[in-house]
Amino acid sequence: MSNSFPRFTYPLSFEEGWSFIWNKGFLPLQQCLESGMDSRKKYGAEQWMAIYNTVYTLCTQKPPYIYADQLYLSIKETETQYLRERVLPNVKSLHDEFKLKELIHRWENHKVMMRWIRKIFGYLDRFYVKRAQKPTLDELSYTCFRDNVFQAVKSEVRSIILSLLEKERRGETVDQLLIQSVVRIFIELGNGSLKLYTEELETPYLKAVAEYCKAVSSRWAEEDSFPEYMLRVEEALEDEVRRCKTYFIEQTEERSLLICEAELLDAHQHKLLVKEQSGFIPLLLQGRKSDLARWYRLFSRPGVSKGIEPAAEMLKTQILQQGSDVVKGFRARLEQAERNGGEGTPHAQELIETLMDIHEQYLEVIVSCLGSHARFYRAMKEAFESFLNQPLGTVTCAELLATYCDSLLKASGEMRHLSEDAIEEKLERVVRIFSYLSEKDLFGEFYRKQLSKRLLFQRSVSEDLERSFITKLKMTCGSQYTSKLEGMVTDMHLSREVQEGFQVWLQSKAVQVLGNLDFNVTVLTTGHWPTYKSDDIRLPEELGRCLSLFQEYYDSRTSQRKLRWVHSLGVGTLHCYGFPMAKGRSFELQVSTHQMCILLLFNDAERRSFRNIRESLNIGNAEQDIEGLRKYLNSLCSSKYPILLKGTTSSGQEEDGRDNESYEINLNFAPVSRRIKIPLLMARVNQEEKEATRTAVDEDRRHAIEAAIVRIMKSRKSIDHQRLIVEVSQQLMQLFNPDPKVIKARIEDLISREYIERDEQNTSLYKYVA
Amino acid sequence: MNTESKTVKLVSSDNEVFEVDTSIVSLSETIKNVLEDTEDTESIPLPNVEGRILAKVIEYCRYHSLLKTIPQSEEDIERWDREFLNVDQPTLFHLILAANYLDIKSLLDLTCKRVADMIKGKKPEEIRKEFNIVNDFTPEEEEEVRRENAWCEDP
Repeated sequence: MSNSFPRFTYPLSFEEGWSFIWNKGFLPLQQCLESGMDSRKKYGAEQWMAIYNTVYTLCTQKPPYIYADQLYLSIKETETQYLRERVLPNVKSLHDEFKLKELIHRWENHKVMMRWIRKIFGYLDRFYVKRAQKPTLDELSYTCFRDNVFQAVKSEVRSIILSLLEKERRGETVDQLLIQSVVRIFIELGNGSLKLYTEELETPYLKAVAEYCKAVSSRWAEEDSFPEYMLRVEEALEDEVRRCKTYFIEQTEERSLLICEAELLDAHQHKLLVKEQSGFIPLLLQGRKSDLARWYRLFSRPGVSKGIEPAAEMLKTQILQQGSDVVKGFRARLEQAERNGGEGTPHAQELIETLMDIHEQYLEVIVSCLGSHARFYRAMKEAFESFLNQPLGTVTCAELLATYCDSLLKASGEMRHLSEDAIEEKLERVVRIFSYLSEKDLFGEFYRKQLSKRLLFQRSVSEDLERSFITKLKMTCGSQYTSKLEGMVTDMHLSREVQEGFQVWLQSKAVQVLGNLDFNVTVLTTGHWPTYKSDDIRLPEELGRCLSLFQEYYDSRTSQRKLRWVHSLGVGTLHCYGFPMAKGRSFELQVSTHQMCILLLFNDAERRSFRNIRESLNIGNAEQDIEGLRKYLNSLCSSKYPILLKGTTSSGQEEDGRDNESYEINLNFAPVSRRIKIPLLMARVNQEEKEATRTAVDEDRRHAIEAAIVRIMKSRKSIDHQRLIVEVSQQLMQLFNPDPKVIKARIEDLISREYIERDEQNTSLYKYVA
Repeated sequence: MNTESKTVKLVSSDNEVFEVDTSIVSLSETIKNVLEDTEDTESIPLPNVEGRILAKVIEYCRYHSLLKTIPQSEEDIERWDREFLNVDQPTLFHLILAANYLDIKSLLDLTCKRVADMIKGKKPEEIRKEFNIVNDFTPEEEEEVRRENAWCEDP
């Protein structure tokens, strides 16, 4: 073992030990630090071990010779003294960037010393520090530097950093590495805690950011248009992100951006949104998509406390106004037309398509520019709900929308030139509008009426489209809403099967019972379809036979099912012979069952009186029936297709005027083509049917309300009046908005029918009567 | 300086020299620190450790640093450690001192646990016999200690 290795006598005194440590350890280390020399070159392994050994000995001698305490204190004194006497004066004496450089240099030195102490005196960390509950050696070193150097220079250092950053903001070049290194001292000195960094550097920096943003933004807001302003802000935010990423930690970036957003966006939001030439609404109306998208990107940031709310309200107001104008305009024209006796009635298509266009236009903006944010969908929903459910005089939007659907799906409709895809596309839009209707039940009822006519008179564009639209309704409103509609389409399908079966059955009977008649039956399920009156018109014999044959077939196929004939929906084709003007050729007349029955009467007599016709057909004497028959007769006497001629009989004495009328076959009738279609009188939904539909809806609503009340009462047993009204409304909202007065009437009715009763003490409380 | 192939000479208090891979003896924090803090170190004097003990320590370090490249099962390691500690009492106590001086935490834990196992479940008399301790308590003092520690006696 070499000579440099000390041999101490036992016990080693603290003075002797420390003097060895100081002379062989600290002194050469400090010399290295001052001269900038690598301390590793200064120590050999032997010297290092000699110091370590000394420390170990001082700590592990038997009591009372344990000197760990004194050792710890001496280290602290040594560090403090060095920092105060050699480090601080040097840092203090310099300025600006030089001060920063010196601080960085001294901190790096201190870290070298810290590491050396930790290793040489490791024994203290392992045992003494824990037992004496002292800070570890590292903590001790941090504290020494913080208290003796950093505290004295921090405010000056901080202002140098801030002014350098300010310079950089102005576009000057600064020593980024230098700033990064000083910032790192603020972080490292916290020794794992960010408190020091946050308080001493971040908070002042954020204050400076806020001031800067405040100053520039009020100038920009004054001078620039909204889009220009947003461009500047976007740039400023990007700039800030870059700066924070370069110098600071993530937490600072987040906080700084929040401040920027609050100062640059939130503070001026209102002023910018309402800018006359370039505000939010002008951007919307001009379709400035990239600006709108930029607006959304910026204003949906977390630092904008009001967020997108103000703009969403503006959007709602804008759509509401646009929509209301359209609806009001339509209403005015409608009223005008009514005053003119129905002339120039505006078509449903105009209103609905305009509204759908508005909807598509804003939907497109919301999806492509406004991040499909739910708040904008809500704004649009609220606006549409508001004007779509305004009263339109005699009609409602629900009805017009149904009519529009009819015109899309009807083969003879106004849009028959459209391809199936185009119709599908339009129906897709219809459903979007439909979802805003509050009177969905009314729509459903009208739709059902029109669907029934399309199906029964084979006027539907395509069964696929019908089914597809019903599926769309189902997805919006649930299967209950569409069950009848689906039933109708299914009925048509089943009817075709029944018809085929009937033909097979007829052949199996091997009799030409039908003669040369073609006979088709459509079987409808009661309940799916609108209610049709069945009538007992006397059919011609041939037709009567067909009916009973079908009845026989149907009964053989099913049991427990009753067939009820609805002749008012029937149609037939007659082959007409013997008209001289047809030049010996026959022609076909397409007519309704009623018209057919009337015409067939004239096979036996060329002239018949009204009364004779009525009685032959077994039509009652009620005002309504007579009126109906008259309409059928008139349709056969029209100026376009005058198959019958109307005259008066002279023989009439005491009978009223109508019975005086007589009808004669018009042998001079000249067919314009081989196939003539007589108007059926029932294809369109007429005013009476409209009234009937509304009455039916009102009736359905009463039932729905009663059912809801009973459902609620059954589960609640007793409930307060207000609460009941609210719950009923909630349950029915999907279909329509029930009028509280109507609900109240239904409650009264249910009380009188003893489903529920009033509480004896509290009259606003209802109880369920089981 | 701390590469695989590099070796260093460890010199015991009785001047025995052991040339070992630095990677093996770096299990000792103390040796690791010397190697980090000095340059071109060829030998390290360890004046607190006897040669026969240092040999044991190196044996321990060699096995345990080998585990890093050739993993063994938990049981195998335990068996090896048990074998390794199958030594007389003076050797065990010197190993504790050496582990402490060289700062080898796992070896310190292992050896201390061995001593704890030797104490566990024994009566004071047995412990005195085991470690060759002369009872220097007066009967009164002994009674006092027993009373104070009554809570930890078996019921």
